[in-house]
Amino acid sequence: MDVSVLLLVSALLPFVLLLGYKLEGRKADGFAIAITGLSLIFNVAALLVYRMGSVYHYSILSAGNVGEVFGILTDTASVLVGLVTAIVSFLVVVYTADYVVKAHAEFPVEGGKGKFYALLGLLIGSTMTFIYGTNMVQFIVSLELMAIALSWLIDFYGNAPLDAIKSFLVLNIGVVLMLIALAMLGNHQALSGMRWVSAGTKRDVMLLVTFAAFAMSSQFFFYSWLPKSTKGPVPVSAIIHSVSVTAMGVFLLFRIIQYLGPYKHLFYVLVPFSVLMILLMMIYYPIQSDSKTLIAYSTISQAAIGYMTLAYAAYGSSLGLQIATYQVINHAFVKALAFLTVGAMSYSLGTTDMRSIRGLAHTLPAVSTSWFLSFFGLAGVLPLGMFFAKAYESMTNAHAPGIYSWLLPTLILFDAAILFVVVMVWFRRMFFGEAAKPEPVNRPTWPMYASMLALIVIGTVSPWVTIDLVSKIGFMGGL
Amino acid sequence: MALILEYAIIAFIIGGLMGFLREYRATTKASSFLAFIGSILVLIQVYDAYSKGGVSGSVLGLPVHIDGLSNVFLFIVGIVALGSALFSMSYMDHHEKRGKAWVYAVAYNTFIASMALVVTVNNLEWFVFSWELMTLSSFVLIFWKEEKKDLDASFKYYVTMHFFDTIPLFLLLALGSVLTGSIHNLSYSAIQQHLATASTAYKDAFYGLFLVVFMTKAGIVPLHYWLPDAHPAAPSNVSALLSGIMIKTAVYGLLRFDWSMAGPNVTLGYIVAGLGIATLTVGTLYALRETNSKRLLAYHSVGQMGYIWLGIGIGMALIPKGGTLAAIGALGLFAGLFHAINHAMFKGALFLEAGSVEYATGTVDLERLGGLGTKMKVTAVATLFASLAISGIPPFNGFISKWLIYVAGFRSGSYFLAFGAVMAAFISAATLASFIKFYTAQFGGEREDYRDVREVPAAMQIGEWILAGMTLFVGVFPFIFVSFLNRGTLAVSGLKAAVSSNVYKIGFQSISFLPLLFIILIGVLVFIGYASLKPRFDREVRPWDCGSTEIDAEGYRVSAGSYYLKYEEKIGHFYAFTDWAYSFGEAIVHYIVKVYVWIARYFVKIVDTPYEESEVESVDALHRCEVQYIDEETLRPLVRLLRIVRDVIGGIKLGTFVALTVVVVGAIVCLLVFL
Amino acid sequence: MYESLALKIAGIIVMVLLPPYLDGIARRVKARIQYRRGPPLAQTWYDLRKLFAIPTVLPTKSWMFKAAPYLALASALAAALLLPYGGHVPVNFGYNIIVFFYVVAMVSVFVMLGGFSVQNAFSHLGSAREMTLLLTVEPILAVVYGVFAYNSGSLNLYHIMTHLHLSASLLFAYIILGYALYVESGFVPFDVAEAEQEVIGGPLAEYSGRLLGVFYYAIYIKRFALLWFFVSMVTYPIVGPVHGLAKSVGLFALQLLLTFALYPIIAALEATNARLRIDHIVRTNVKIFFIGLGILAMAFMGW
Repeated sequence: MDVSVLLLVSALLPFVLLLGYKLEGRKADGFAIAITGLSLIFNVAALLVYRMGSVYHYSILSAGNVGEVFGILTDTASVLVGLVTAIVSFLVVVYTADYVVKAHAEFPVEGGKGKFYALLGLLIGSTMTFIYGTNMVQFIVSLELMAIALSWLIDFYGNAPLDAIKSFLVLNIGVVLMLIALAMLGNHQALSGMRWVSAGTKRDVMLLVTFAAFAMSSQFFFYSWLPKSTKGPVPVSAIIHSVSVTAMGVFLLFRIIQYLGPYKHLFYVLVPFSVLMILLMMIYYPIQSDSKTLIAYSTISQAAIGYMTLAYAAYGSSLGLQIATYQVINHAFVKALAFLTVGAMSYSLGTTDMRSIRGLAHTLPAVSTSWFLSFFGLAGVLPLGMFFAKAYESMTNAHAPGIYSWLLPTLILFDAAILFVVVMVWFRRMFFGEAAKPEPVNRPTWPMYASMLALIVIGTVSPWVTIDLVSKIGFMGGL
Repeated sequence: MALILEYAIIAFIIGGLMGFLREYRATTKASSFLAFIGSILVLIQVYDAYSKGGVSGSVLGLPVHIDGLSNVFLFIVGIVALGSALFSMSYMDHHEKRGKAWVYAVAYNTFIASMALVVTVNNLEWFVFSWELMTLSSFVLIFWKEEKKDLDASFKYYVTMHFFDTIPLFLLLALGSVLTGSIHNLSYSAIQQHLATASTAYKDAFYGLFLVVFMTKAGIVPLHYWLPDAHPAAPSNVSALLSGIMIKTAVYGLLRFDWSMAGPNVTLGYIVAGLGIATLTVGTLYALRETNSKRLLAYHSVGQMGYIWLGIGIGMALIPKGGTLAAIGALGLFAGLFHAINHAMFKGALFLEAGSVEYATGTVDLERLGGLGTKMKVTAVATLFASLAISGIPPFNGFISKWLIYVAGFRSGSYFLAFGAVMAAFISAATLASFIKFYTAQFGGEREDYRDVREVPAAMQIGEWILAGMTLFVGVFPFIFVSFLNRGTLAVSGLKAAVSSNVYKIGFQSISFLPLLFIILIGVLVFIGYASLKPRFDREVRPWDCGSTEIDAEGYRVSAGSYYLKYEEKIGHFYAFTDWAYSFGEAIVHYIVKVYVWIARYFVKIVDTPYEESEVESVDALHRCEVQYIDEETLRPLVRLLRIVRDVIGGIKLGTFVALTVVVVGAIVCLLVFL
Repeated sequence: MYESLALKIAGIIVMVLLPPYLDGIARRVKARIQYRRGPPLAQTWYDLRKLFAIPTVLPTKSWMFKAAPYLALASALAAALLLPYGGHVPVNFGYNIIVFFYVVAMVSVFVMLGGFSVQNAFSHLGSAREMTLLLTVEPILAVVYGVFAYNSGSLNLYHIMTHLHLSASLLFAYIILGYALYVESGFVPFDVAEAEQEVIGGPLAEYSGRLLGVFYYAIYIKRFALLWFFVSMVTYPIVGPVHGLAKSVGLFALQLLLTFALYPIIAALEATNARLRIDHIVRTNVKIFFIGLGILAMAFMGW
């Protein structure tokens, strides 16, 4: 029960940022850092108290005939993913303090910092309530809150109003699908009650939630909102790509499969879609010269790989659940690092278009190192965690039935290989050369570097630590 | 008790942390010194494991088992790293203007540590981890100098590795986990156990994928194309590690996985031997016409790797046949392992010497070098030793192992393998030709333009002499290594090679060689010849140029490129064919890109304008186009309609819209909750 | 015991003294072919003695220049010491075919190293040609190793000589062995490396006086060793295992006799041929190598 309370506090704290709506400048920074830091501290405390493998269900609010509408579910998956979210959020907020400023080379910002933090807090807070969510209603409400936060955040610079609407709409498609699922589940809508639903309902709910999750993770059919949303501020992208909406799509389906139990046919629904998405992204990688959008493609394909793994979980293996969680956790750090790195380039060079950058290794050595680690890391190169994630994904998917046991790992690896070649080509073009261009307008500040360094360190350590922890995850119902 | 290897790895880690020293010389010297300490510890571990007959344990949490096979390769890691690390302490000053000492410190130490782990870890997962770490750190070291051609070389290297190493290795992880039924239990013993009962398809996949992995890393034809570019691109101390150790890890892997773990396979044996024959021929004949000293050495690494594969192939093909042939097969395996050790020594030495010459003169172009023999005596003699060793001149170590490979090949009773031995003997002459050129083009003659060249610092001399001295030592006392290597062959095949050896003799059945006697004989004969016909010298003169006064003294020589021009012309068909194969490979890549662009054109908006080039035929051209998304394109009519609606209704803002949606969603939730 | 020692010593005496005389024979035969009287048989010895008496002019400071002749001489002697004289090997440091040919090749290696140590284009050109020659001969020899090894079941010279059995491929192998040895000895028309008229002595161009004498001596001994090897390969399989003094001495005499008999033939070939160009030699030898592979295949088919 203590753990749940700690987690509850840590999840609700980010909402406090909404109070700092009017703050400006350093005051806003201090407030935001303090709040997210506090949230992180509570989270770490929860981790210390928590005994891995145990499950606590803490119901807070129940209403009407649907039963529970707000609660805290404490298990290995939620504690780990929650901690990752808290860490990434804190580091991103620290980074933001010097990023959303007037000195920024590409997007100088005069004011509105408090508003930015408030919306970011809303995003983070709703993400965390989503993670600890115990029931469909909580998932729906949290997702709606995320959608609202995003609709403002993506258009924060005022350069992407249509894209903001688009992401809001797509996420709301997800919401609608989940509402239908909620209607079908009726009074079994809480996770703990899902094991009693009928086979027919289980099938329908699974399919609905799958497509809701697809919408969240920018999968087929609505996959363009995520690449387009990268026009927004980098810290926002960092959060949505690593821990928030996209990762939550995978997490949502994870929860549903975990509590509804395996459903073999879902495998044959999920796999074609993920395969299609991965193939599509393999075509998209080389077209893109904007580093932010390139990362977005990688997010889409990584999410697809997550779904692929969940497909195996739906086929009946708890391994799929474990490795999907592992993937979400380790992907988060690398992705956040990639965005912060690109942000640093945007901050000091004024562009993220890789065509126009030369001699990066000499103009910004530290940023270039981080670029090297994170971009190659996304393609599964050591030392960051995606290497291990890729390894375990390949191993897990090799257990899939029939032809899939070769198809899926090969696809995962070729996806990474194409990304690798693309990153390699850009690395070759961007890093070296006598004439460095563009000249850096200013240099990233030490808090920015510090958060990047922290992500490198954590991203390197996390795969080693988490692999044993995730192996405690298993099905909770329907078996 | 912790393994000594653990302390070695810790030394390498500290060496990497020396990057924090910031100052260039301090960093490179300190990190190289710690690599030196680490290498000594590795060698101590080798001795320890040898005397105990194999040790197991964990190194920083990674499961490690050092058996006879691992020990042979751990020795290679230790000895080459020792020479290279000592050499680096002075050599790295040469690259001071490049800066980035911390990158060197981290990558160099990681590289050595990862190679030590590759040959010792006991679990496929950690093998892949160490292997990838090795590839990554070597990649960083290869582009470290940042010259344009280095970048291209590193690019080619890493992309090749990703497709032919990383992908198959990950597929093997997948295969391993399917075999063992778990993703957490990929220890060698578990895989071996499950592989024994696995279906043929799985076994063939296992053999085939590993073969591709190790062919690529070892630079086996036709996957060798990266090697002659990548090895010279790195700083010379790193080239020594690349050629001396890294490509040997592929040999280790081949023996560990495709033989020891999956069991011997006659067909695979013939394939390996055939690849070896092709590789030794292609590599060495290409080296023959090379005039860049480091590229020449790199091509020879390809060629010598062919010898090693030939030896192993002979072993793999013959041992399952049993009887006398099995004994000959074991000899082939033994010789292959021996050649791996020997190649590590002389190739390490040669790269360090190329580095010394580069340090002293600033160039590695054999066409420009010359006359250094009188200026850099110590380096010259070391180069001569290593050159004679790689050419297989007795009594240097290269002779012993090549000789044993010939014996195994000629005695194999198979035309194919005997043909391999014929090619090996032929290529040995080509190697000699190449190294006569390598040595004399640098150290022969006398040249004015290198008048001020001085011998390199002591640390570099010692570094190169550790390895060059070993070539003679091992050549004269090969018996020291016989039981050490036999532990390796035993671990691989369960057989010991029936190599008869004692202090003054090494041989197989009735064929023997007495290196000690030979060197004493040569020594005595030289002494007698010298004593009885003591040279008497007249005046010193300039070389005779037939009385011409026009000839420039510097140019009065045969340049490195024209040594064997006539020979190269006469075997021109060979080069023409291989060059064609290269261009064929390039064409494949070209067409893959072309097909990709053709597909990708459907995913961008191509705007036809009369002014700009609208044909999209390259990836660069794709970048200039706007990206299209399927969902956007499909829904475009709907969006247009909505826009019209918005224009008709007018005045609806984002905020209003969001609020509206929230209200609707909220209403539905409430309805669902309370009804 | 004593007879073995005696034969070994006789062998050493032969290898040290005979080679220049053999060259004397060749000179005499060539002269006779050209209707000249020709020099005395010891003329080559006189030439060497004269050269030994003259101090060397130094065209370079390189130590390799000074060391190479002695190393070449030592290698040539070592090669000769590995051969059987009446069934007895003076110094057995590895009585097998591969070791022998490697030690012979060392003579060329040191000739080349000596030639390359000076800054002289002719010297370099000659050395490069020497290497090219070696490069084309070595594969042919390798084929011969292969035929012998398969035919007799070993690479050990004693074993080969006692276990060869007659077959078509073996006869062909002897022919190409003879050819390869002839080429490796650098007799006309394969004397491109030293070609006096073209490259003024090739690797030896800068050598003079005593060092030149030492080199010449080494080259004579090497030619002797190669010839002696061929002669042994012919005589021993015919005579069969060697037991007892009489047979040993007889064999030794037979070896000597055959050597004396073959040298005039070599000289006649030299006198009646003109030097080939290096590219001709390469082309011919490459062809012979491919023929050799065919012979090796024949051997493996049991022909």
